[in-house]
Amino acid sequence: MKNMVRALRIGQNLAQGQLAEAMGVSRQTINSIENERYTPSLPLALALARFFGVTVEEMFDDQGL
Amino acid sequence: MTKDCSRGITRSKWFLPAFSLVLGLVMLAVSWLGGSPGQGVISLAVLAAFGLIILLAGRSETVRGLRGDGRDERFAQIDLQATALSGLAVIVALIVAWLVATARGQSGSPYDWLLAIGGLAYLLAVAWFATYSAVAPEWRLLVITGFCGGLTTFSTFSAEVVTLMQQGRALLALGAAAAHLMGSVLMTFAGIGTVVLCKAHS
Repeated sequence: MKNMVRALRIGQNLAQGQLAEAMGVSRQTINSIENERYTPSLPLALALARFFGVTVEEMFDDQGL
Repeated sequence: MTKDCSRGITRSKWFLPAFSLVLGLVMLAVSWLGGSPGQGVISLAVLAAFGLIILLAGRSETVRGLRGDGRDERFAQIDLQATALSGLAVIVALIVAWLVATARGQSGSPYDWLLAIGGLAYLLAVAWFATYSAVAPEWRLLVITGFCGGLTTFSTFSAEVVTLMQQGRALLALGAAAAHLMGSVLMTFAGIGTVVLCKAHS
């Protein structure tokens, strides 16, 4: 699913590994989300949105589906 | 408690290598009983090598994810999909083997009852997940620890020892480990001896 994870992460000057550690997932998982190869679970999507202080709707775009 | 405990063990990087090693030892014991220890030694060597590779390949994120210590929701999903796909491959192979055997006028066994087990397990699983949406921890403990543990007596044993260690009862944990280890080695010898005696008298 299209999302703003990469833009938000770079905006905070974080590496994929650092975000992964904060979320308790692997770096590959963050990479897969950013490249739209993996749709995160609802708990992980909520955790990501909360981490960046945005809503899930702002972060993920399901219009392409 | 039990759930967190078993989860902690399966998420250790030692679980899969240790499981391979124990499986190899069981195969060695079984091959020995069957009168071909050489085959068992080869199985043990292959499984021990696999365990060692898994243990040493921790630099790879993929290995860590599938091994357990790097496991997150995405690897859990990959693991589930890979398990489903390999199950599908086995079922297709069984159907083809059954068809070939039947067409040649041979007995469909053991493919028929293996397919029946697969079909029954699938129906039970569908009924279960439709009602409960997930496997309750105590059932998971029964199926995973109970079945695999019954096979190897390893995971139950390690779960008990780790619980004792977590409770700070180190001496009791050491005693339990020693009793289990020596007991299982003695029982294996007793089992091999029984078969040897039975063969000698038959």
